[in-house]
Amino acid sequence: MRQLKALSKACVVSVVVAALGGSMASQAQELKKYDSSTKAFWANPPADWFLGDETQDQKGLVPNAGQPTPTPAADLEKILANVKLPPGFKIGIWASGVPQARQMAMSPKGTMFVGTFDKGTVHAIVDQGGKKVVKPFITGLRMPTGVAFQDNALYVVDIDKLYKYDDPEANLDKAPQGKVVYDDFPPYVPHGWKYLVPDGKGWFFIPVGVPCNICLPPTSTAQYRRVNPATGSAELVALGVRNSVGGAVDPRTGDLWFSENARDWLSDDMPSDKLNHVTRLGEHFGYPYCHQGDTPDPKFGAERKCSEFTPPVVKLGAHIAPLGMKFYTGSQFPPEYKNGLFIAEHGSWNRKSKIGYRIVFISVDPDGKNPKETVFASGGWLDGQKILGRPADILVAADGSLLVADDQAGAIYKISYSK
Amino acid sequence: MPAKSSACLLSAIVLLATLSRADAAPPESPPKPPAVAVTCVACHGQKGVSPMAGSPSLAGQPDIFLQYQLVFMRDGARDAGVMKAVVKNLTDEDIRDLGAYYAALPPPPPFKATGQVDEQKITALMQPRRCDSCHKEDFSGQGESARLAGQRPEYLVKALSDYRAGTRRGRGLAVMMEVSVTLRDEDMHMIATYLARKP
Repeated sequence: MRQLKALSKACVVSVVVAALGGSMASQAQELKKYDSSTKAFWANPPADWFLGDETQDQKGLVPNAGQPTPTPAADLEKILANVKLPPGFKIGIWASGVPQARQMAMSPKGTMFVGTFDKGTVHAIVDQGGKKVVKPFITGLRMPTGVAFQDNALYVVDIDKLYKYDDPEANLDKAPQGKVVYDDFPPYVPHGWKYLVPDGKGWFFIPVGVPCNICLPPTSTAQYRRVNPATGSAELVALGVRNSVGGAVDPRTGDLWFSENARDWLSDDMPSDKLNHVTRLGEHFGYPYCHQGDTPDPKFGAERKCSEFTPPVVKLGAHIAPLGMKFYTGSQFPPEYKNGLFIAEHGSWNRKSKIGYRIVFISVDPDGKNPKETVFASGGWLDGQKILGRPADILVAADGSLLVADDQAGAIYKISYSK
Repeated sequence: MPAKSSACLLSAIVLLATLSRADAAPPESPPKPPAVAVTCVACHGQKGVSPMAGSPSLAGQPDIFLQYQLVFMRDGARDAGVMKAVVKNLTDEDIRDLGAYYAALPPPPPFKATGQVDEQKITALMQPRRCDSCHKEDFSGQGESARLAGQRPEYLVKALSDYRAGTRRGRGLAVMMEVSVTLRDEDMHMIATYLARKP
């Protein structure tokens, strides 16, 4: 039965691929050729870095505009009232007025640090008499999306630099001078926003995205590195990674798992975004040659086989934009959640009808076998085609509840469980 | 060839639809300015149409675009110069009110810009950069992307130069830097003249 199902699934996939291939062939002469072999080319990447393959039919699709100011608390309550969760779970506001909330990092003393996108600010959130106070802690950076707290220091990654702020809680009204502890990153801004994944041994896994939608990328990009902030040394961990802004280390094995955003402009339903698992150093995940483990790229796929590359553990869906993710290490939730993965779906822009804008849960064996995906939190953030919120990151709080950063509504939510 | 003619037909239809909608629209009462708008008029004009060189027109700009710029200038992400003091004490609510107000004002008439515009050169400059994908075919803007039609040309040149130099922080950082970095000064002037004259 299972085999039959797998077989029919494979047939659907190959039909889709054949259909895509056909329409691609007719467009072939219109496809632009990039000569990305020279350094000069990458000093000024192509002007059409993300719109280059847009068809007339897709015209008008643009990345979501977001929201300049945070949603007031009263309106947040209305959004959260429409969020559906499994029985026993409830969601509430943990903090409002947190513009562009991206990656979160909590200090052992309970200070929350939150990155932003192009606002260039890292906010600090403290509890004052039961009320959350949001302070712009570090300002004037470019895209400080990734943050981490480790050994009494705050780490912030901003496009091409990893900063360290020692003893940040000594004075939360004035951040200490940041120290650059690693700067061997390429300067590209497109997909240059990053995420920090502590490896548990003092280093960070850090993604380096490609400065384009689909291209033969500069060799300094399309990868995960492991960086030692104490010495500034680094190693390559994974290759062929288009754009990852979320990852986590499996508490059972220490392996890196990461979410990956697949290319745009192929179609509404292809290719799928991915959940990947790194099992050996230097593994290649397929970009730009092969998408979702089984679909050759129309421009770059001809000379390679998909079997050369590591396929995803889970195809998460086309354009759903998986960002922040965490293994559930708490004990508040029912036992079936232990060591499973929560992934924030930021939601689609490159397809006509919006999908994503929710949180999924994936239980999976440590070796990547038996993955099972279920929708954990949905509704509320997408009202018809209107975007009211975008889950961007997830954190497991000390009490075992789940904190969710929303960079559209500018808020952090708390999801808790009681029988 | 067929693709091109259908695109032309499409834009003709869109143009017609826009025109007839504008004709049919009932006259609306002019939007009321929020109290905080009083500090804006000296530089940006009584009705959001700027009388002052270097100061952009705000009338008819997309609501979201206006709000972002105010937030970025207030919070220090965008180097605001003289605007710094003006926006310093704005609340989020003020910013939402200002965005809604200026977005609702009728957009500026075509600006009488001097300078040469070579249609062929303009197409060669703007088409590969896909300006209309975000700013729309009539350059009226949408969401986070500014209205360019009818904007003061010297301001458009300043914005493009700032993106090229990497000194304009905030929204559009990635994409606008990529499209502007290969523009020469004279290209920017021609694009600005072309856009300023757009209705």
